[in-house]
Amino acid sequence: MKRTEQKDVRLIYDLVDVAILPAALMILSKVLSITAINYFLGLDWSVRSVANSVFSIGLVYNSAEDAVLVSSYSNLFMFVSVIAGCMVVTGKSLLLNHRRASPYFVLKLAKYDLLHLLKSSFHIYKEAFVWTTFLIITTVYIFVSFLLGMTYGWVATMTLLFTLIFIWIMVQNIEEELLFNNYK
Amino acid sequence: MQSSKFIKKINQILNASSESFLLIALISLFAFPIVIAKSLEPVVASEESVVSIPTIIHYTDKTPDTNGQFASTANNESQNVLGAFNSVTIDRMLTLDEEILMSFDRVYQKVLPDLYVLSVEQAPTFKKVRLFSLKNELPVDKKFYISVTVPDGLASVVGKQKNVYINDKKYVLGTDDLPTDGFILKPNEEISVYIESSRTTTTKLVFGVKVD
Repeated sequence: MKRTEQKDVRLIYDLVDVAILPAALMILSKVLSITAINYFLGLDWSVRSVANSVFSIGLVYNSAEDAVLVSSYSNLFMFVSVIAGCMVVTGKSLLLNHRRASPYFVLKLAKYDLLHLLKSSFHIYKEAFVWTTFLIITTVYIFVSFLLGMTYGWVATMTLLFTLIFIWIMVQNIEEELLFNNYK
Repeated sequence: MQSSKFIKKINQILNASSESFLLIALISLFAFPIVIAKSLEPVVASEESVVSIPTIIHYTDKTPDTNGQFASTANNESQNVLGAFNSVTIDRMLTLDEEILMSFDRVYQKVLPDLYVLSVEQAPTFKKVRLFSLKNELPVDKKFYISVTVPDGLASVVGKQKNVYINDKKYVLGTDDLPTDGFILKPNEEISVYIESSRTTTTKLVFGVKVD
């Protein structure tokens, strides 16, 4: 196998590896948020057969307001979990990029035997790519849900705004990285 | 030489397929949370389309004629006696010459999720088939009404407590082989409904619950 093909397979493998965490986090946050909302608000819900559901069963609420409330807040919580992951990756790119980390910070890490936290740009931006993709997918999903009337407008607006802000931050980050590389 | 070329070819195909597989895995990972989120999306109860609940179909207080046949019924009496309530219709096709294990209980639970009726069981027998047995486990303030509608659009009749038979003459008999009148299943009371026929038949079973 040629070297480039090996690298391609390795790259895709790494992307799959990185994508597992955000996927699991999204599902977990959705499930937990729905459970918490039902519990704390004491909503009247049941699990029943639903004709056009993916798995033929679904959560059924007696009132449309309850359904929209649960949908909106669970989507919001799901978005928050994804953007939290994105923020962590952004933090990594600023602090734990082995090219851009300050010597003082590197010494601190060495002191506590945490040098393994430093990652290459390639690794960090792989993570950033995956998390950003999940963020965009989540935002699109929430926006479509809003258009279908199942999510509040302010939730959709907020998610869109935060996504745009994050993408702008990432673009700035990548620009700095490129400048840094050129300078080097 | 030929074999090494062949091996190289196989190697290429395998590497390409592993790349494709990984790509598919990556795309699936991106799509999977959205699929799960979509399946968890709340649905409003009125949007359910699994069971449509019609109003009551039949009730009769007429006595049978000498041939044991019931005339057409009107449901006004039922409205007066039982008030407004929901009923669900289940259509089942039975072949009586074979042993059948119907998943009737699961269907029953599916179409009547809000009812408390449990303990539904059925088992085939040689000459007559017991459609089902059930026990009324509704709260005491709710009335459980049973109507068994026979094929070919004949007037529906209601079954008696204990054992209710539907024979080839297409009407419901009690244990004494006489056509029965309507009934309401009392709390904790059980009933078994049988069907006797030498041919395949369709029996429409209607259950109703009084809603106060």
